[in-house]
Amino acid sequence: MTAYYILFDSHEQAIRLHGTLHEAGLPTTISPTPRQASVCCGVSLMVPENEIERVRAYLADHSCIYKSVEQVEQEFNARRDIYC
Amino acid sequence: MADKNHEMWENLGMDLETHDQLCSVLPTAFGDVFLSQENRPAGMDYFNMVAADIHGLRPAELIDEQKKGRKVFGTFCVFVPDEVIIAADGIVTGLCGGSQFWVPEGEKVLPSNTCPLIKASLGARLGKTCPYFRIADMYVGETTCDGKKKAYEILGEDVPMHIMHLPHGKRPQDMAAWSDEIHLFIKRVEEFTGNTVTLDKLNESIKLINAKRRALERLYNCRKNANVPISGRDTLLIMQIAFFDDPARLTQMVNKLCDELEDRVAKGVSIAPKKAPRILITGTPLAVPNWKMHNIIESSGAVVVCEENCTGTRYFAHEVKEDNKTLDEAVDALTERYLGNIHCACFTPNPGRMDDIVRLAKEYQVDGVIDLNLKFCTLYDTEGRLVERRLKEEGIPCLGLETDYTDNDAEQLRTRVEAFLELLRG
Repeated sequence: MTAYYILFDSHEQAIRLHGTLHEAGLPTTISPTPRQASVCCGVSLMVPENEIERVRAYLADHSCIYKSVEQVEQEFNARRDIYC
Repeated sequence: MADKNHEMWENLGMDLETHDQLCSVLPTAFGDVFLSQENRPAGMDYFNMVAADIHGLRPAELIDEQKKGRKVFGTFCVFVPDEVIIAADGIVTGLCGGSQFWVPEGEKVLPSNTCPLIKASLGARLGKTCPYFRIADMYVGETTCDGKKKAYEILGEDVPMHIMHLPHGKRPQDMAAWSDEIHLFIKRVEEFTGNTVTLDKLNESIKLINAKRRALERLYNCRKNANVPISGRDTLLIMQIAFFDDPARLTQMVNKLCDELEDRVAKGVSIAPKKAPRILITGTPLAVPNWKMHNIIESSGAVVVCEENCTGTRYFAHEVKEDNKTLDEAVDALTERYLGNIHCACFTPNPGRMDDIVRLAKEYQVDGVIDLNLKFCTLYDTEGRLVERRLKEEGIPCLGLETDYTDNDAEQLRTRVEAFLELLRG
């Protein structure tokens, strides 16, 4: 499954954009940044594949503050049983 | 964000290379356990954020407060009264280790047949791979089990340590002894912070923590409904965060979430499939990031609706009496709430716990109880026999499980859980 992550320089930026996108009818999920996207423990916004074009358009039109948008291949699996 | 975190961890003297191995596992594990769920409440956003940067956000806040002269106290047990620390303008952060990642470092100084929670807690400190363990100015231990008592002696060689001697009974003389311990604790906290615990300050902190307890109880009450508006996994995450987050903010965020959950209840929204068996977990605590059993149970088609343990109801049940007229009266109120009402397996006898499990099983309309204990926890393992017997008398199905923080028994646990759920489904 393809997912997209919006990365930031601070968690405040992530929270602000999360709220802005939510108000614009573009729900995202606050998520840990996947290792494929960046080597950090930071906060990012996960965007489902079917919403990414609308989100990209919004980001471009509204001068939003963020670091980058990264594409990631991932599959969440509750039965994988690999824990921290 | 990452650079700031790395700079902070470096300043804390952490082993960055080893710590990075833990960071690398978190996103996938968090995704599998939490983000794989459907129809999660929007109010989980805040808790997602805290968990996403669990070693960055809150540690940075703690360091900022230390720069203003405040002291951070690391605690390991729900018997330590947060109210005292907060009344002295200190900050409390829970320190129990819940990851296998820290266990091998702990095993370097502890017998391997020590419970994983103790091994992980020591490993996190000695391996320099957890910022909370690096930040805390003083650790507060307690005498709830032999393993912890000896482990605190080892930790005490590395960091200032205060031990609260918990009586193992609830007789009047035990209550008096615990009251003395709280007075001694007040004195030590005052000396360490340089601040006096006044009656007004203590009454104020009692109200602050009672408000947090009420919010968490409200969250749990939502799970009593036939339609369960939040999963056990999400609730567990909130409870784990409650041990280290700012109490006023945590209360606010939990109450905000509860507004949404109560709305879900009114609309009949449930996160669980229809007729999903309702499970109560009892036993040893589930320190962050120990999410294994909740995930196994819920991804096997059941829903966890209550936890009778130290990261569950024991953490918030019963408030401390407010508006006390003297400091002694306030300490008596703390004594009554903590020693009188927390039913840990370290007490002998401990009938209150059996009564609590049965009462909660009925209140939360559970189909079965899982008595879940960490390996090498003699107290809970031994008390398991009494739990099983009492539940049998009450006609409540019970499954006893023992595990640690490793992943390698997950398949076996799944098999046992699924067989138990089949039994419950009839």
